[in-house]
Amino acid sequence: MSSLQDTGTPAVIPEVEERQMPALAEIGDLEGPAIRTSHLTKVYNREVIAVNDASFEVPRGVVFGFLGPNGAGKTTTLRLLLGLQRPTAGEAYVFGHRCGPNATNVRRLIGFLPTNPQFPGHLKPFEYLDLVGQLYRLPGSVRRPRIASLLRAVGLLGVADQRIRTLSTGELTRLGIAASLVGDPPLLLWDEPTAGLDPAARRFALDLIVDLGQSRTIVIATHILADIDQVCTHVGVMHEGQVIFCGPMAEMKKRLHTDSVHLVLRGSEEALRDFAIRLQGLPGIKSAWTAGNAVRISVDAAGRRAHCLAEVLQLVDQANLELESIRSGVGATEDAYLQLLQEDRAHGFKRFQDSPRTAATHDGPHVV
Amino acid sequence: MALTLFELRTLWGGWLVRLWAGGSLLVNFLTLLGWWQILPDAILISSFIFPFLVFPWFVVVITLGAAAVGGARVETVADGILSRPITRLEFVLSSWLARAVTVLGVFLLAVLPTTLIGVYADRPAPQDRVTLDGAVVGFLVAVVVLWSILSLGFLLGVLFRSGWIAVLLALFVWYPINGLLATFRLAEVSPISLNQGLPVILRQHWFLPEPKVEQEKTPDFLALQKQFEEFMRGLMGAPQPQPPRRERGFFENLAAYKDINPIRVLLSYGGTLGALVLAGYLFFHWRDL
Repeated sequence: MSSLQDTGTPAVIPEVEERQMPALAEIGDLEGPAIRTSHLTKVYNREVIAVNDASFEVPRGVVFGFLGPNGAGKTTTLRLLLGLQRPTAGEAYVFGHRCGPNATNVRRLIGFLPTNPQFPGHLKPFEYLDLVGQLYRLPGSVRRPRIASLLRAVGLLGVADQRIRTLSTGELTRLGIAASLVGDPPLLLWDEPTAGLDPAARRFALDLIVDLGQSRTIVIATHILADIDQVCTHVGVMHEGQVIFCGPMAEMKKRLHTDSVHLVLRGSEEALRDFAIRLQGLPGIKSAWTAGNAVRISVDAAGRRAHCLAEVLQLVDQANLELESIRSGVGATEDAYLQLLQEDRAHGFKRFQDSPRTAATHDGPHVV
Repeated sequence: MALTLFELRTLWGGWLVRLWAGGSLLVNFLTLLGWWQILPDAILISSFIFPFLVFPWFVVVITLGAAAVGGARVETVADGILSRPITRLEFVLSSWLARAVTVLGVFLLAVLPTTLIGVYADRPAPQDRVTLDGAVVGFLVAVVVLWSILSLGFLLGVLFRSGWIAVLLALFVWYPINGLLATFRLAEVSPISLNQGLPVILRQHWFLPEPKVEQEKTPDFLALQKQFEEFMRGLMGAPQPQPPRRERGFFENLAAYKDINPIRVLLSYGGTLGALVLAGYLFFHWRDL
């Protein structure tokens, strides 16, 4: 892939600053969420349940991270929103418009970037973007200058005269990004935008998301937690076809157990063993585990946590151990995410029992 | 329109159409050279159309239709086109139109030059009378048959995700049926029979008036002229003219098609364009991408 070092942070996408909001009639519901799904379900061939009774909302103007392991149903959900697939049950709305295969009014409001995008290889980038612009019914006087600006903004001017089939993965992703912006839509659905990118290209994509997020709603489906951590304000977690969490990022992090502290120590084996024994006798310590030179302590949340931790640190000093790192469980997205998945596995049967009642009595989206 | 142009460009940029266009032109020129001295005009033109209506270009037309929304193309279509604000009906119609234009283009490219050479060149083959309107109607009928086959391929492409399954199904179902129908010499339903009856269409006037024969020459004058020609030929030792060659092989039984009616043929195959309507309906209401 061509280096992005020279481009550094992305040039400002002109439409971000100068964009005209689509007509009110096109936007539809002015107050409601950007995306709303209600009991959305997709079953393939009556065998594979890709999306399972998913109800969630994405507020307007947020950068929404759609998290989940591979095969969780993220891409299928995006394809249902775009009308590329039909739901087996339930419905989805984008800015108040119902999604479906022929809902062109919905697709006019969406800029889609697929994972590993497949584009017509015989066209050149400008020609492809021009075609996309024509599909959005943009007049030539608007389309052409916009495409030129986009090509420059995503750093593809240098390869504008090459056939798409000759472009690298990173360049294809950037072309996909440009294509998703040609219609200047208020909602961007980007599926794995950083997949297969080198670090510079990944940085470029993330900076672009931050820039674009100032004026649009962006949904990023990914399983790369670091990306979500950097750019998202809201997050939805999908697991085995179900949305198990949907809300602000901070709320997800709060769900972590806050009573655990991880210490990494350095010292002799004997000192570590001695430290572990003395640790058990400290007031306020619920439990302590040692594994090699790592110690995980569970602090009694009801007690004086600061005092307790101060005593632990004093004990480290007394045991002639060196403290290499200390980390609280709070604030780590990865921990929060993994904990959500673990809880979901544990409560799977409970949700199955609750599900019919929920479906029967609760029409709106719910947060698990 | 943008989508149709894009599809046209995609088709002509691909190896299948290029190979087909080149191959059909080559095959028709070889046919022309091979039968230069032997076949009368109408049979020669029908031989040019044979690969399109019987084998092998028939298969290419089915493949073109079936591949429109099948195989590896589905992803490109979904990611690059159908995720944009167009309806599926727009896509189906644009895609079909581009393929129909391509089929027409390749047909004319392969058949027209060889036909013009075959008809206007001074060939030693038996004299024949191909009419202009007969040729126009004959070509029109052949193209409509190809379009209906294209529509059938389209329908199968929508029904089956794999383009290959669609093509194989078309071949294993269509060809036996086509062959069976050909035994009844039903030009209205069998492209093989239609190809056999095509010389009849090519030799008739369908909408232009019959040209007047040379009436100023009386029968007595013509008889005298014939006697004179025979005398001169005998005097100079030139060979006697051969009687018209009897048409053999694939086109031998033209008498069976003397009542062939292009309107009936057009209506019959035009009806199969309904496959396109059904394909559009299914793609619109049923198909997932």
